[in-house]
Amino acid sequence: MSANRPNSADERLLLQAAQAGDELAFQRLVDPYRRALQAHCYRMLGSPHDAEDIVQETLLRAWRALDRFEPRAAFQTWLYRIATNACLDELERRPRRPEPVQPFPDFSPDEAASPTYDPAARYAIREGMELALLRAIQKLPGRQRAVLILRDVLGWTSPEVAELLESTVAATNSALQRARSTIELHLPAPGPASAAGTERELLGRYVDAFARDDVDGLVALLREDAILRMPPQPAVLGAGAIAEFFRERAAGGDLARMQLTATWANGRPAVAAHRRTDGGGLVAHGILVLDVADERIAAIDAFIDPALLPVFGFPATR
Amino acid sequence: MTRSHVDLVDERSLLAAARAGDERAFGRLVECHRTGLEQFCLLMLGDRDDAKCVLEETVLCAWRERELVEPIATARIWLYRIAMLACLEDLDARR
Repeated sequence: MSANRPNSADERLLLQAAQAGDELAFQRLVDPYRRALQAHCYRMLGSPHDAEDIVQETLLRAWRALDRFEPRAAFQTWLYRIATNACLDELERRPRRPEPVQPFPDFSPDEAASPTYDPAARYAIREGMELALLRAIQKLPGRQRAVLILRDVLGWTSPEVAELLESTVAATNSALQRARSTIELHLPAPGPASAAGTERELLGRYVDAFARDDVDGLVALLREDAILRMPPQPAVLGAGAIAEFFRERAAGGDLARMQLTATWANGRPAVAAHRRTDGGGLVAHGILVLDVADERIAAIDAFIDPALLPVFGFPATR
Repeated sequence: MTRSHVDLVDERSLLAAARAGDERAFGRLVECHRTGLEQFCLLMLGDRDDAKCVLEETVLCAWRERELVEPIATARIWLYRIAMLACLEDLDARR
């Protein structure tokens, strides 16, 4: 990080003055450490508000204890020790308080709804892709980098990016064009980007076919030798047999009774399925994971278990 | 744009509460955007540790400057702007 830390000679002088009681010198001495201390306390406490308080407390304690500081020791280490102790005291003081900044689970289960998987995005961050993209992006100057990530990975619109940059849509678009041409040069081709694009498109058409109860449309997405696995039932082999299954048995013969939502499971395209009840409500049904090969669905792994949906961040009923 | 967890209306009231000093509201806003911000910082900096540091800095800075956010701004643009500036600063410092 870019702390403008005074060199050690300056620091020694400031320290001497501070130890002699010069409060201003003390401020100048500790200022460069303030941000790092705050980050440290934030990590310890999980609350930016408390972190602010505890940094104040730390500096107060440091000021009071300054004459006991042994100049041979590292000042930074000493400050961190005081901060750590102050944090521990604070944590002890509030043993019953739940973590205030973490009301949601740390992971994002609902990846389909996360900006990363926005259909407008040009590149999807997926395993493997991430590394290639990371390397390519490092070739871009900072602002172009920001524009490309926001537009093509996170799926923001031009006006949004322009607002963020406090710039114009035209300038943003021209930065994007320059960034894209640099990136295309450095991305491996035919990149995993296009594979991810195909998967996304297939996933969209799969969801769509269900919504329209369009078995033919669904079968058109399947490879001839596709397989539908749905343990403990026997697997259904071949596009024809799967069509039969969808027409006769799945969802009581009416695919539109299933409401599918696109998601991702284990790096593969997947759908979360809710089933419409006779009363008109929707109940959790299961997760279906697709395997895509040669731009067609090669396998469908159906996990018919309502309990899975909440794990993926979907409601049990809708 | 697909929205996650909270819709815009919710987000506006959370942002208003956060501006007024409600730490839980602030925490919820941050959590709503954390995954995206993480990706953003990681891609900006190309380094997981740096991205983590900058994201922490971003959260702290957002909290410190919560009163400065314009009432009409969206939380997303506000948070990403801080993150972007922090990333650019970090990139500059490396040269």
